[in-house]
Amino acid sequence: MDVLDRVAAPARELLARVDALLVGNGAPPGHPVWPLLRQVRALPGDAVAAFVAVRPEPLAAAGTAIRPQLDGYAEAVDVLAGRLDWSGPAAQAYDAARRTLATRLTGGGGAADPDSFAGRLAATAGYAEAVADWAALSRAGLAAVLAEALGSAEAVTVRTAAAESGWSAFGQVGSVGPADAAATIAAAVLTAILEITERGEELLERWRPRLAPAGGHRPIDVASPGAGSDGTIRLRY
Amino acid sequence: MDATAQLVAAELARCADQLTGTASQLTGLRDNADRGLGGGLSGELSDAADGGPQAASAGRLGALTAALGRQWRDTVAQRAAEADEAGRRLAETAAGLRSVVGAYRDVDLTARRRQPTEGS
Repeated sequence: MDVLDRVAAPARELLARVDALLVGNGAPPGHPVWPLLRQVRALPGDAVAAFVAVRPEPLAAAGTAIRPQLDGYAEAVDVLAGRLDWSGPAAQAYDAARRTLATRLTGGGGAADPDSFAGRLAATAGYAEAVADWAALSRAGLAAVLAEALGSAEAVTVRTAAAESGWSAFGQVGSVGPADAAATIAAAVLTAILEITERGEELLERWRPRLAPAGGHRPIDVASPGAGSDGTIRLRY
Repeated sequence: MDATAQLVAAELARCADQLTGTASQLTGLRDNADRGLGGGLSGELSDAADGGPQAASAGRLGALTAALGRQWRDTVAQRAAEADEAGRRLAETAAGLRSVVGAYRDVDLTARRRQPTEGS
């Protein structure tokens, strides 16, 4: 349980009232909440509800689980690097096959080529970790905004107005009414949601090319008896 | 050469099995996205009975979490397919190498059988 989990329950109650005020009474003309509502395309309560369900742990665990699997590619390339003391068409075919396969698996060099199977697998682990980091940082940031909103004067106004029967959403002259208070809380929450969304969208696009199928596919002619045009095998004693 | 090639073939086969296992493990990780990102519209807050008016969707954020999850699932499926392909190719290479070793052995035996005959 993180900080967002702890503030989620009281925030749910407050944001339900905020959403109700926004839907029932709208917001003052020119209030910053209007462009935010257009950009986020959701009410604060629904947007926060959606994000509370986003958790970093499963993806962080996936990244951790993937990393050791990279050893499988490295080990295979080590084995393929072993040279055999033979010659002839079959040996040439095997040599070509092992080189091609090694390139496909890791790029053939020391560090994994980003376009190889191992490179793509490493990027996949990186993506999982990046999404997990985004989720964790975003949850902490949203929790701080919600905590501030819960302790604000606007929250008191919204709660008090909801508790009183026959309340006016726009309050008295010279005071901040419930509609203004709800719009202010909504603007703060939606600003945080918009920042989270934009960072997530940037992350999505940044990782997309690194996660594409590994390129450079070439069919491999696996060494077989008689490989080569004349089918001869030369033995070395 | 015979023993060395047999050893390399055995190692290649072991690596093939390992990568096939990687493919299975990756397939099992696909659900992690659903647990980490797929709950966009069924979160704790919207489950409340007193939630008041609820929007039909989580808007742009909901679309983002769905896209992140889709990208994860597609990516992991692709990595699993690549690991599976790598395992298959390594197994084929190991089998090819064993066949070549067998062919060498046959040629060797034939040559040895012929030597006494030709020498007599």
